[in-house]
Amino acid sequence: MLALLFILFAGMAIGCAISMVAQRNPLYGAISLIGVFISLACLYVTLAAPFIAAVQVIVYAGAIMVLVVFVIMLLNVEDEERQPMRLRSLVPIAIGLAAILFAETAFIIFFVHSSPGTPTTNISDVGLTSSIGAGLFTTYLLPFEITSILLLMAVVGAMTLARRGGLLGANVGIVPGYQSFARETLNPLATPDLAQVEARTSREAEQLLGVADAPHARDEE
Amino acid sequence: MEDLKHLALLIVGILVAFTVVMTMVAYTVLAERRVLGFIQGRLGPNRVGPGGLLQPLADLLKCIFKEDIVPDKSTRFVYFLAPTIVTTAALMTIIVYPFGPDIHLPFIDKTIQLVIARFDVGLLYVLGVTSVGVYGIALAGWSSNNKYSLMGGLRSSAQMISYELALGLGLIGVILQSGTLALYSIVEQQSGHLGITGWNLIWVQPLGFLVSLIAAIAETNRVPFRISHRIQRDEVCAVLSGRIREHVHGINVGDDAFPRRMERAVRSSTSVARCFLFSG
Repeated sequence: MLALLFILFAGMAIGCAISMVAQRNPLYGAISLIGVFISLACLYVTLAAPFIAAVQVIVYAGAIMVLVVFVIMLLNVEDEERQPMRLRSLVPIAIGLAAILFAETAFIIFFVHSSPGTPTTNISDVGLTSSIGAGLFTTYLLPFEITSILLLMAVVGAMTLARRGGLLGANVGIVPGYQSFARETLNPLATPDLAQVEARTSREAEQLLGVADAPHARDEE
Repeated sequence: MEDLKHLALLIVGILVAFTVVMTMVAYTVLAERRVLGFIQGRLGPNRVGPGGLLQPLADLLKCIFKEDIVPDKSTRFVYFLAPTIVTTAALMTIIVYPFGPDIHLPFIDKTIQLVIARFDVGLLYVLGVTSVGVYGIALAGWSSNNKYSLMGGLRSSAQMISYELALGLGLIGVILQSGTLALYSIVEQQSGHLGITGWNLIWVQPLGFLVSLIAAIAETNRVPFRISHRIQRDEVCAVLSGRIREHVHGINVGDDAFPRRMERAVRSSTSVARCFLFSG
């Protein structure tokens, strides 16, 4: 039963991986990669690590790949063109190396003595959530805290890169679409009044108010 | 042999739960339409059966017999995959829902569990499946070969992944309170205290309940988070809900609208409600 499940999920993972590499359309490749991650999560479940399986789906398939799919869609990445094959001399070398890899795998399967019988269901406690939590907050507390700081660095970096410049102050947020803000936000020397400037981008707003040639914060980037 | 019996029992359980949930969704939609009609001073659908009770059947027949409009570019696979992902993600969560306590059949002397799968990480599984369901919206927007529909799909899926975070954080209080990620265990811990006073999670975690409820409503694109439905007539924000325009005919209406409604009926009514309100 366990062998059947392993063959099913491993086959799915390999099939999706081959599909990911062989696809010309990048979005199909991304979908295949999602298939790989989900089959890996299923394999983790058969190895008695349900927490890792769920976190794999949530983090890898559910967050990282969503980002990749967004990027592919927003940048409108084209299909790969079929290019003429170069460096034909590498093909026999590649076939030879693949044959060596297969030979090594066959050697390990048939000649290396492992524990007898089929592997039984692992009923160990290591993969359970409570064990992971206990270890994470006692034995592995330092790596846990350092990882948190690493993630914080990533978040701060993303915010810094995404921050828009211009004459808008630090407390003015950019909302896509309609923007309306007070006149004195763009031109600090203007008399504050309640008339609002409506523009589509901050650059257009600056042009409407005649402050477009003022120095911008983004000129220093 | 024991394995096969167990497997057959699981399949029967899945079929029963699927039927129950789909019927519940269909009639929840009908009830919503009637109530909305009442709020708006009109009658909802009441012509088809007694009080409109056969309306879901009529809608199903209509959707089946409508013409499918498919794009002629090479995105057919994704075009049909997207509603499938949404539907599958919405339905995969019902296998961890504890529909009730164990039932003891007196004559056969068997115990039937009303949970299809007793995962120890049930709550994480629900969150994971929710995360995968976002792809359906994004791929539906992309596969319609229409940049407005793409933008609509991306905005809607961006909203969904934003509120996933709030949903997860709102549920942390529940996890800390119950000490377990298993849904059946969370529910069992709230039972036995004279009914509603046993719903200690809604009394003990009112803020978490509110946050999770709002996040679940946003996840399933309910009002007031209906970006995917809003057609802004302002030419500046021309995010046409092109995804709907492309999927406007045929079973794709059913495929797109019903999974979303099903998702919202399954998720926002059961996910949060059962975690917080279910009393044994």
